[in-house]
Amino acid sequence: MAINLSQVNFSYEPVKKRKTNHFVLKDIDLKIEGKDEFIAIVGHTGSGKSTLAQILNALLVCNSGVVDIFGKVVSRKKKVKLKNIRQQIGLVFQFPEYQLFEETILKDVMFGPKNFKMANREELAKKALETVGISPDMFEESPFALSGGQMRRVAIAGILASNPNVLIFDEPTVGLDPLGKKELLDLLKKLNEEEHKSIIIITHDMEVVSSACKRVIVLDQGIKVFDGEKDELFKNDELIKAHSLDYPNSIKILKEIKEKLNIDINIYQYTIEDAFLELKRVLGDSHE
Amino acid sequence: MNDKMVFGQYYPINSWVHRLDPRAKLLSVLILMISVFLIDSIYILLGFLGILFIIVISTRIPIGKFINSFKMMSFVLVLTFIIQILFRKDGDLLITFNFQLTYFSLMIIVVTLLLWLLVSKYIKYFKLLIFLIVLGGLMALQYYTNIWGHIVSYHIDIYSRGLVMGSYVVLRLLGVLVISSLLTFSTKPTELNNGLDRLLSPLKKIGIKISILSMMISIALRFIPTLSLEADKILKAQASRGADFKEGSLKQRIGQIVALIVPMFIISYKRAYDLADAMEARGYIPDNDRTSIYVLKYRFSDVLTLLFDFLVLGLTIFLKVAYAI
Ligand SMILES: Nc1ncnc2c1ncn2[C@@H]1O[C@H](COP(=O)(O)OP(=O)(O)O)[C@@H](O)[C@H]1O
Ligand SMILES: [Mg+2]
Repeated sequence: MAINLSQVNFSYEPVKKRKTNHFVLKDIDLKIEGKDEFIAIVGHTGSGKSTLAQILNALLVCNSGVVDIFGKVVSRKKKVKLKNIRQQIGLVFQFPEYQLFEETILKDVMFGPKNFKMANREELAKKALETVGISPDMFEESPFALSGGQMRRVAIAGILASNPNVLIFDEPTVGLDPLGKKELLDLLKKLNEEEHKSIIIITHDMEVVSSACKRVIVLDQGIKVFDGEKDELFKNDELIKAHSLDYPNSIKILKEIKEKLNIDINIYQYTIEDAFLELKRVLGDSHE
Repeated sequence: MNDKMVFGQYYPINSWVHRLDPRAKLLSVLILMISVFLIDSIYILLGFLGILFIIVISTRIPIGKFINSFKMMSFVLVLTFIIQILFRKDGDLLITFNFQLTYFSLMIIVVTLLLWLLVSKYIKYFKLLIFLIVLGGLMALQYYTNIWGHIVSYHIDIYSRGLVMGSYVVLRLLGVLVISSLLTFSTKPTELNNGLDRLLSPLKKIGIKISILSMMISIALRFIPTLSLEADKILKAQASRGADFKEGSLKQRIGQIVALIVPMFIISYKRAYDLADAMEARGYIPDNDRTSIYVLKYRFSDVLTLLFDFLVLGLTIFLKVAYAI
């Protein structure tokens, strides 16, 4: 088990006032594998998603409970090598393009591997840039001359270059156009399928959840209220209602069609293609 | 934005000092400061501090806040007092201390100072007080012992003027500290800025445009919390790429700081351009006359306060002249 949280509580206020503290995370239990996972963390603004991501990266330390990351227990009392944790868990913040600072793209991407004292840092950086689709003739250019979408990809390469096993993305699709969004999701799928990385996406967007993720975690006011397959979540109408979540478009449309036409159809399709195939199957059947 | 984002020393309660017009408060501070420096009798100075103390009590700002601001200045206070005592050589000679520095006392002094260097970072409270006690102990050692190889004798003379001037300096600094703390505890930075703007606006007649300056200050004040949030984000983003702002050689650390500063510059520029566009879109023209959303009005309590200030100033000037004769 790569990540193992149990009974984790966290508050931004100083520990001294613990009795009256407002806890941002409450009694979180969470297990995440070091490979092949594709998890979405959803929940409303202020539900603690970004805070959880920072706990997983050891940027924040919990007030009580156990945070075990790749066998290292992060706690306020005992110092552990945080660098190892941060190398193995890559965290891509919201609007990561603001973290660029070097003169050239290649140098910026090498910042992580250099800090982690990795041997083949240049190769790692070049490979990461290639993965995100930045062509080699741009390596020596300034990162500030790029377009917004390209900057974001370079910033993501800056995390990939350290070759982490688990990648956390905090609202990665915010501010991207539909094409940029699709490209980014394709990139994440590729990392998941070909390199067997565990991917964790924090998002509001149910389209992202439905088209890419396997497992969904729902946070509501710092409490983990759901953790399971996405199918299980979307079939649980009460849960969706209780935490005022949304359905993905494909399910919404199929649901509407099912009610209007009163036909027997499996509405739980997660991509437009699947929805189309299902419709064709059902309608084709009934026409015969 | 929550409470923590209110920066500075402002203490949010609703006392009569809080409710005063910022212009009245700024003028009061100016007048009272002048008074403090004009007073040259220690009894009047003590009386003045007594009045300040009553004002402080009446605001119900915790005394601890004031003590905290003394703490920051305590080193300076103690140092000026000691310097006055050591170097003032007029008035009556009160007492002479004879000290003997011997190899024995020298050894103990060196050992104690080394120990202090090691231990001092674990002392949380009353650090200065403990240091002074240790220092006093070392001086007492040189005063009472004369064994093991005499090196040099020296003496410290304490004169009455030294004692008096030392007390003066310390009491005056205390007065200045209380007055300025009272202002910053009871007035938000934005209020201060508005008050200054309005007080200095007559300078426009001689061609100094205070309104531009105060606009700059209020924008800067507005952006401190925003930019500190951004800085926190960048810091975390670089830390998750393995940056370590605490370890490493100087050269490495400078490299890491660049990773913080460059993004901060870019964000600040971007924000500045956005703000400039937004202001222009709403028709902001720097030199134009404009009314302010914060209308300042002198009320009865403000007039009373200012009257009181002038009374204090008049009294100190009168006493100064009377004493001089
Ligand atoms: N740096 C901070 N200091 C104090 N409170 C914070 C800080 N960051 C977030 N919070 C608070 O913690 C709660 C959870 O925030 P966050 O984890 O950012 O939620 P989400 O990412 O789900 O929108 C919110 O109530 C927010 O106000
Ligand atoms: Mg967030």
